[in-house]
Amino acid sequence: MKVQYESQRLAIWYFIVAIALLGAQLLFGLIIAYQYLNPDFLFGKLNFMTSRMLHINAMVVWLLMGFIGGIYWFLPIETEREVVGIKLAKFGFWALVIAVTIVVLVYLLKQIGSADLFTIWFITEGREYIEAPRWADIGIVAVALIVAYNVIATVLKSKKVTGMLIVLMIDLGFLFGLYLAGMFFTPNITVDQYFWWWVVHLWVEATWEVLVGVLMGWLLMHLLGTPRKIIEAWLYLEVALVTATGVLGLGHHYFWIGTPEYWLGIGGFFSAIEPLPLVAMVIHAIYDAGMHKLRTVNKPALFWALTQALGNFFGAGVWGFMHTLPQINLFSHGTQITPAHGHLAFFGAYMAINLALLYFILGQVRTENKYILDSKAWKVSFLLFVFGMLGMTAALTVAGFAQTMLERATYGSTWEAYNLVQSHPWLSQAYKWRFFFGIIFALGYPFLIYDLLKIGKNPTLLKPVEEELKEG
Amino acid sequence: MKVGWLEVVIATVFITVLLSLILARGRSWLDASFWKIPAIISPIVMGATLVVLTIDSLSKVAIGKGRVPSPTVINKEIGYVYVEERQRMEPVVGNKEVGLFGRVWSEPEAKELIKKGKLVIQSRNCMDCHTLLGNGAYYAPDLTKAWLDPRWENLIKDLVNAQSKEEAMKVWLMNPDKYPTSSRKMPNLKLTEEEARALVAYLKWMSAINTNGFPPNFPEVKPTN
Amino acid sequence: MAQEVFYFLLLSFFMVLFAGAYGVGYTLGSIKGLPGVKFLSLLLGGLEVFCAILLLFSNLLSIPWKALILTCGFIYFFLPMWWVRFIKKFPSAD
Repeated sequence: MKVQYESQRLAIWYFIVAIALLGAQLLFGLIIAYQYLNPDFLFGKLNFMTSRMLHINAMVVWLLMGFIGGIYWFLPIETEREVVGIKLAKFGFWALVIAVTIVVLVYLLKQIGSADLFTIWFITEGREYIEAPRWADIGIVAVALIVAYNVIATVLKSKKVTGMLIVLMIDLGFLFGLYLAGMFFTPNITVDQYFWWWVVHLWVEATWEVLVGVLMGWLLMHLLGTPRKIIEAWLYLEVALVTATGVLGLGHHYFWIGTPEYWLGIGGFFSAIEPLPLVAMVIHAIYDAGMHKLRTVNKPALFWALTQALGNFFGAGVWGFMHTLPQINLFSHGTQITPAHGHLAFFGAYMAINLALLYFILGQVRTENKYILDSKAWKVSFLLFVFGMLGMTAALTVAGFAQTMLERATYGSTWEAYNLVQSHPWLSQAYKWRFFFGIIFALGYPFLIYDLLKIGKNPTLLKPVEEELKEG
Repeated sequence: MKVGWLEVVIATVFITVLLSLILARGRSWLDASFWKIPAIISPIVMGATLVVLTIDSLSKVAIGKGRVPSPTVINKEIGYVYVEERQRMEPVVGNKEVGLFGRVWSEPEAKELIKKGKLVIQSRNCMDCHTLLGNGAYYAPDLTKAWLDPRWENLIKDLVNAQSKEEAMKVWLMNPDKYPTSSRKMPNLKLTEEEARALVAYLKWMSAINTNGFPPNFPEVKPTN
Repeated sequence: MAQEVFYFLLLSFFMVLFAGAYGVGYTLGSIKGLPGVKFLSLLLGGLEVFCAILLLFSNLLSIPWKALILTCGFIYFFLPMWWVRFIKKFPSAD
């Protein structure tokens, strides 16, 4: 493998671990999806709550590791020098891997603790997505500071301060800083959830979106040859639109947690316009892809990048808008509509860009832009992932609709209503379909692994770049 | 001056657009340097608004300030009724001191119970099966109004042979796998008796939080005075 | 009530779905010079506005919210046209 900088070698390590964690996410996802069908499966040994925690934590960690990998890949290219503090960065990588391993082992073997601060510090914090015990939180912050140091020190040393780097640095500051908002204990559940949403929402609907904007910008610059000035203009526009809608769109999580009523209006209004930047990005993606007639040196990277725009819009925009207005969310809050939206949104907005970045890196390393990166396997995994995800989303949407209409709007949201509706045929059938499509999705994984190991290694299978351009 | 949500919305959008146009005047809107301005102004204006609203919200949701009740509410009766003027359901607290687990808890005692209860919820990872205030996982029922759920009196009390609702809750929570209510069983989370009591107190306290009407349509509960 | 909730969910879903489909179709039609595709996409845009208008009849929405939906409905209709024009105007550095 020919990489120009040590930082890029590190990027590849990050992606390797990320893809391994994706596998873990899929494994635990299948377990919990199956438990919906057969609740006795592993009951008492590996309960739903533990597998679910592993499913969502694996997701958050692998996506973040992919982003960090993307940063370490593009940073030396952007600054035209090796990353400053590369030894520290490698140490940070291993520290993260070891910390994640310990946390996962404790999750699996200990699972719960007694009701004291020791549990919070060393076993689990028990708050969705950020269950990691406090010691691990501190570890994550430390690694984040290392990444931030790498970026800032390299930029300063290189004296190359591009617009994209400025956006990246400011965004990373907020992204890592926001994690601190989740690092405290309070008996007041309203305050707990108020700041918990600062981490979750202002991550996935603000700082993560901007980070993806930067990474996508670099990807398109190097993949399609789009000029920097244009990428920068669109990045600034995206930052403006995403922050204008997403920062106060945070209020759509403050409808029912005990906070004042004005959040119903503020949150509902801003989150209703959150899809607008996403429509604009889809239009732009189609425009760019169409103008290049989908011709590129790296087919999978382009396709996954396109999927990012479309998936982000459909998962986050369409499914999000569907139940964002408080008048309707009163009934649908906490029903299966939420994971229907969540799965498609995360797949589109974040899994897709990570795969696009990974394929781009593979293209750079294996073909050195002499050949068009392509294969049969990536197409198979792509179709399995997309088809599987759409199926899961459709199934959960049906379940969510029924749950909203029956358990909430008709039967009064009681324990009995919950049980009754969970065994309603619309839901029990939907869970079966969800599991079936989950298997389809998971089948995309072995094809992905095979492809990542093989693609680009055999030049006889690839078209030379000149030939592809000649066909234009 | 009464500032409502609509005013905040209009003001923030208006200020962002206006400031951006003023500071970017002279630059072509087809140039990157133009869009740098709203990229800076928007997060600042929206962020500042968020900070101001946070300070306001936090003052209103502090324990005992109205929306989030004082811990001593566990000594009272909690209800949940539909309020016509506001077109939503709201929690209502009775005046009688009925106590919990057969005694009236002092303010410091109740505070300890609530703190312990929250540690129970976090240490046992309730949020990865249940939803609390609608947030969490969807494998098990929402717990916002668990204290007020009719099932404790209709079914569980007799099932576990308890004298009161809170006793029923405590006994059930210590051995939920012994008393399944559906094919999806709750696992035994090894609660001590003290932890179970704290958890019940927490659920009672949580049910008195004003959640702007979530969950809707819930069967009304009226305190006896 | 359940029916009211159902139609609201459905219309909100289709409103943005049509908006996106219209955006995709309109963009493809514009850059490939396919007037047929462009026309079909405008039909989808029309359906999107129609969904927005139907939502206005919901009893769940008060006046400010109806205004918001109506405004969104129209922005979604004009957004693809404005955006494609905007993108085309952006100077490419060659």
